[in-house]
Amino acid sequence: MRAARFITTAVFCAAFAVAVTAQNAEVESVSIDDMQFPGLLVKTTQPGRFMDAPSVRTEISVQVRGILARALVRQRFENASDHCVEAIYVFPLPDDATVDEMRMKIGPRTITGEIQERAEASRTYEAAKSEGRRASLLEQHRPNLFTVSVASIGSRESVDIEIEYQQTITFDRRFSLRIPLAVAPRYTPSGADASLPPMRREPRHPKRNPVALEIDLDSGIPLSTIASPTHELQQVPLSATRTKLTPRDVEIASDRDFELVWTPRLGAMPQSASFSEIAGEHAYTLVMLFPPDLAAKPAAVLPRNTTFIIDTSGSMGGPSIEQAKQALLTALKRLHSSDRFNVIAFSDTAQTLFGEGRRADPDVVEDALRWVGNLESNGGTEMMSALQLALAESNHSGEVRQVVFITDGQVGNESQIFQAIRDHLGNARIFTIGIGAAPNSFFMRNAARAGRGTFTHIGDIGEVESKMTELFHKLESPVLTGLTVDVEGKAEMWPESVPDLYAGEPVVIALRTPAATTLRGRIANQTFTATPQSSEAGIAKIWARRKIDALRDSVFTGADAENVRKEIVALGLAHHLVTEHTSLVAVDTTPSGIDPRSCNPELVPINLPAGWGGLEQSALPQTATPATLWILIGLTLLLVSLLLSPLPAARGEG
Amino acid sequence: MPRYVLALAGAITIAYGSWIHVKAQLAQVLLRVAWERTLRGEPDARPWPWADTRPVARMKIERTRSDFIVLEGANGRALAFAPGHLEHSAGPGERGNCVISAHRDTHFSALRELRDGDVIRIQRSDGCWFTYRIQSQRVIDQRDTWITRNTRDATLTLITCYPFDAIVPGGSQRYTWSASVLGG
Repeated sequence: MRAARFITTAVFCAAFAVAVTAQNAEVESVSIDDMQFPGLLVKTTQPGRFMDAPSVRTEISVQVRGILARALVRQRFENASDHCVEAIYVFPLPDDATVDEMRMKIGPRTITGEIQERAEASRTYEAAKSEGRRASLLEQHRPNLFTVSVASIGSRESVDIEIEYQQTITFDRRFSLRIPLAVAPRYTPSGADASLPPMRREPRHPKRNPVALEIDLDSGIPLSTIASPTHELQQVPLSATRTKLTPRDVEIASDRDFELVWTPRLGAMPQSASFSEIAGEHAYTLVMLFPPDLAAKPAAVLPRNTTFIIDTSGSMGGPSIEQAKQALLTALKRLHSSDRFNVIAFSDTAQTLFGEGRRADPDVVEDALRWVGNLESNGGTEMMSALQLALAESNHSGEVRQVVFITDGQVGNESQIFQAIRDHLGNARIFTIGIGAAPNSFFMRNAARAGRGTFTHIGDIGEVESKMTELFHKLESPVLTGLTVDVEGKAEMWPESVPDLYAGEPVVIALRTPAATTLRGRIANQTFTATPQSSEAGIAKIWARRKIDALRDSVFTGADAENVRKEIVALGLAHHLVTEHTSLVAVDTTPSGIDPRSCNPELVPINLPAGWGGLEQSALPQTATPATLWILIGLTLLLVSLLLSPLPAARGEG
Repeated sequence: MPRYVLALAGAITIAYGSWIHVKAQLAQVLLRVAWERTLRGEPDARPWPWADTRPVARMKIERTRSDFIVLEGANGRALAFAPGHLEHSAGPGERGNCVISAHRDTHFSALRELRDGDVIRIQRSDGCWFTYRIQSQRVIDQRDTWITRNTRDATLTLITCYPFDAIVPGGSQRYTWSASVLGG
């Protein structure tokens, strides 16, 4: 009898357990289905019904000529569902990408996008959408984050969007081209910027939004090496200076960025180089000053006071925190005993290792290594307090003050942080180290620029040693400061003041002068002359882009935001560029025959970057408590315990 | 003997479940104090010293006579105490989409009672009140994050879990109301 009641209890509890697991299993089964179909299945409001989310297939072909790269990005929007959708796709481009063309291809027809002021472009697009026309809109949210919206994609139709952009190649001992493919989630502290687009995250899936990539590299000078630290490459030499490159896999996953690096053959490096273009009544020239011989040793080593800041927030979870710690441990071991140092770790709050910078004696470094080794990632990214602590650090006279900042930069309040850096920098220099498969390099580069330092990207744990060695060589190297550029005649130059020159990194400036004059100038005892020709198409756009960057920065130092906006709009319209205030919009004049009311907006699901784990950014908040469940279980247990109390008669029998 | 153990386990489980409701109500009392401090101009009035969030709005639903203080952030820690304002979404009264979510079985059980045309009033930290009129109700999937997209006008989106009577938490459906601003 008693045994029977126990069995009843067990069955009750088991039933609850099953109910709980069944619920979980239902959620789970959706993602298993995801893996079996080429598209992506999403639940609809009707239980048991599924629909395919739109997907995007991307082809990128890049032409590199000297230090200019021009890329054609073809995005194919596929709607595999049985109803019409409006697809919204969030995608990254390089920080300094200048987007100037968009074309929409529907069957044999091509509609070329035109530049309009952002609000106007959005109105044009919405109007076309409400009439059921096919239309596309390309908007910039951050200098490196864009969305394409495509309206009225009919059932089982596809629409091709072609985007063209150009960028300058960066040089840091070697040339490097980075093509961002993944968008990392960003942390925004309360009250900050609401201008980020909403994103829909799905667990990583290699087949989602695949990318095919082809690079035609003509460096202009013979090269000693071409390699990719991120992907395996196939190389086909076309001439002495020209090579065609593709990743070994025809389609690569959009969960990590692609990087290509190449080094010129020794002795082929000029001290300064210039490229020119004539456009209208102006000549545009790009001047690059390369640093002096890298092998030269610094005459005297100045004592340094270095503060290391390490990001231990939740977004650094997984391999990122290990890379960051490895980078920091490598750095600590390289300190000279004459240096002072401190370490700050931050997530929700910032904590410092020492009250103030301590001399790097072996036992002190030993303590620091242990402390760093025990750090774990968890919580928010309250970067501001860590920076303020670092910049408040007192300085002894004659010391070089350096802040080395190790993070993935996934913050949304970038502008507040740039402002804090400008306000509190003093004599310090900030060097940012980007960690992980997709760091927010716009933030890192600009934080370093505001901090008059440099940016280093470490994409893989295997690169830690070499990249940190490079950075430390740079930190220990003498610095050429106070550079000036003198040009004969009238010139408009961006940036307006020449940045400091560090070993291993060139200074690049863009000039606009009246056309048909030969440009003669001097920079740091290097003379240069350039006769503008119309061959180097694209310099004018680089000049415009650099002016836009400088204008955007000027808002932080007190320029009137409305005037800056107007100037950026004027530059965007004049040079046909997408900026934060101008967008590209294309509208098909041929009616599509689609009923606009039947179209749902759909965010194209995007991959989480490789190495990111456990972050569920894709869903609306979880809004139910287990209160009812607990109370019901409790009541059941009480009920069972009552049933268990034996009747007096029963006890007599037993 | 086992029945005492069972009874005790039952009582503890019930207490644990009830505590969730008690906490949701009690926290609102503390939050009201923090909100008064916010209205007096204190920039970062935390309701209790170790709180990792702050009150951002006060919200009144006339039909149900509900009156809540809203916390910043729609994570589990904030939602245990109050409705949460989704980070990145517009502030109350601002142009854009202000998104607030709460648990279906505590604060936002009120959403069940709402009808088209109902009025919701929201107070911002500077003391201004904004009136929103409820317009449309939908049931969507948790991955339909487009509902949080920014809008051209000032709108309010309220989100909670669905169905209201489900026993087990963690379901994938969401119950939403959209409202548009009438004026300050």
